Amino acid sequence: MENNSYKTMHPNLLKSMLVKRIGFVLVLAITGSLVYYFQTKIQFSLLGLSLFYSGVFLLALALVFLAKAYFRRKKFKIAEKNISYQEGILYQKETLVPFARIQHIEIDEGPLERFFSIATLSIYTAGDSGRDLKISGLELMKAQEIKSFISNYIKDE
Amino acid sequence: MNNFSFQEFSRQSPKGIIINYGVLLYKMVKSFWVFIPILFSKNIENKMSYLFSVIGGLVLLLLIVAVVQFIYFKFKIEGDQFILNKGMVFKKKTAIPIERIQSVNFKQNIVHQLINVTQVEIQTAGAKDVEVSIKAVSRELAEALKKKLQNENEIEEEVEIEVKEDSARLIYSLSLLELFKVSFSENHLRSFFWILAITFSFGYQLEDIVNDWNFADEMIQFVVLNKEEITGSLLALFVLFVVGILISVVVSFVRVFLRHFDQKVVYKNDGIQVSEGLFTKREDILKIQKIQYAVQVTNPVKKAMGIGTVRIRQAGSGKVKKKKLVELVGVKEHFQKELNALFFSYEARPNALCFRPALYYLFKMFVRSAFFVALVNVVFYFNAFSLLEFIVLNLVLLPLSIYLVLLKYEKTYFTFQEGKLILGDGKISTVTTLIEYFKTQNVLLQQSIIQKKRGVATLKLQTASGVIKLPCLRLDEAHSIKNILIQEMEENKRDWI
Repeated sequence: MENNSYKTMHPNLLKSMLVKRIGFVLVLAITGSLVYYFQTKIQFSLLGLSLFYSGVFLLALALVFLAKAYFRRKKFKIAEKNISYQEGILYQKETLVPFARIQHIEIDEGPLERFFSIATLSIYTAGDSGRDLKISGLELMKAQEIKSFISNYIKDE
Repeated sequence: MNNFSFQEFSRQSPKGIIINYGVLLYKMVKSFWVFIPILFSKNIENKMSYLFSVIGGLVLLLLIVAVVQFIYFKFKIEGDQFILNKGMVFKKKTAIPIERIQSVNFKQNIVHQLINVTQVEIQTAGAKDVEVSIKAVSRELAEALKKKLQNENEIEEEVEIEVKEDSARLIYSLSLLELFKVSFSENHLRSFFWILAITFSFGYQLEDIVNDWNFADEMIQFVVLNKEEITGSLLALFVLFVVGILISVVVSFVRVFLRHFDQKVVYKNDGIQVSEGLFTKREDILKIQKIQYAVQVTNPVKKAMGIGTVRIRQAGSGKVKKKKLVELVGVKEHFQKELNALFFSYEARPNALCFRPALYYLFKMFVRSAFFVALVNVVFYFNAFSLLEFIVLNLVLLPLSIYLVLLKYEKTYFTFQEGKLILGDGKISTVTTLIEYFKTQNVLLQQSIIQKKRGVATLKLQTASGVIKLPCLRLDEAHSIKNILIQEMEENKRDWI
């Protein structure tokens, strides 16, 4: 179970991140188009319209590349007595939680996550700013394995 | 006193109805206060009787609610659990394991004192926990309940209570003169900004209300007519500033007197008991092992008067963070040592492992205060100040902000010493934080992209009572501090609460 190097998340996490971002861009594009077709007050020129769509396209490209970079930064590590998690590009964060301070653990699966058969592991301590660990993109089996590993450790103490 | 067994459900004192009613009325006024000016406006006079009957009905309804609240509010002790039932429509049952109860505190505001009842607050700690407040019981019942809840707690932990029972010892009690000293040496600038914020947020609403009153008309006209002369000159601004500071001093005095009047600190069993307050009397028990961290605050004025402040933070459960802060305001030098020894068996030593923030921290603070100075200049530019006034303003502002930044950098340090972490901070005041760092919940190492380039990182220690920040450490030092912390958190088997 323990492993002294950081591991990246399951590749399906990248897929679900991409789906979310592309969904966002699609909603944006569709809303824009609807506004264009149904409003009559202002006439957009063809140039304005193509600018809008190329902007949306560029945004989609940027989000896809950023998603890849974010995905590569997300790493977790389970050591003998603690669990740690890294993420972020502009603000790079590394959170460390000793098993001895863990209050409870939750596993969540959203509909999209279930489709990609991944899960989110949330770890709570008594720290009061709610900035505890939240690791998304673990295989469900793996998440359950980690949960029972930590629970057993806490029981043995 | 031993008549209270708590085996059966007991209710609050019937006087509790008064308290319930008071709270309900207060809530009503609070949520409708915006409409109060309507009562004084002219065009409503013909509908007055209608309005008053609505208000009267509401007030009567609240009385019934208060009685119902009283009837359905019951508590007892069952086995090792404290049980509380309340509510008629929305029934709520709360069960707290007695061993999870952190402290039982008493509170009496002026109404409580008039009708001679006590409010009991039961505090627990942990992730998903509850706070219980019993609004009005007799003092005897309160004492008995407290004894019951805390004794049962202690029997598990220790058997020597009998011996310890009489060890109550007065650490200090604040005299009126000392209270004056404390008020005088407070950070008035903070009160000043507080007043400023309040004035800005209420200013418009106040204007509306004042407009309705005829007597204020002339005043307002005077101010409006002379607006340019009043806001335009630096001298007037200076006068305004002095008046503001004077008001701030008064506010500081009022705040300190209300909160800390007759503060008594007593050493008792394995903790200290703090009682204080002018109208609202509070009694808090601080158990030493449950203290998360302590902050000493002093400034040159306080130092000259030989008096200091110690803020003590206990573990909080989310919502009620502020209440977990107990402030000992009249700590004299030799009590300071005693308190340090009491809480942390700590004595400052020069040869401890010490870290300082990287030079980048100084750079960052300079950039920030440059932004602030620029902002002030922009604001003043739009108020049509003359060139001379700009020069005078910046001659004061620039050296002052540089001096404050240098002071803060000078005073920031992080020292490790026998399981304790001591943090220095402060500008004009000196702030020292003491934490037994095994009580940290989790550690966050954070680097912005700029910090990454400069090879520095910020460490954040999450405790059960707030975040402690070690800003802009060299990366290798940040990692070694992180490792020290983690190792202690894993190896130290003492309870963190």
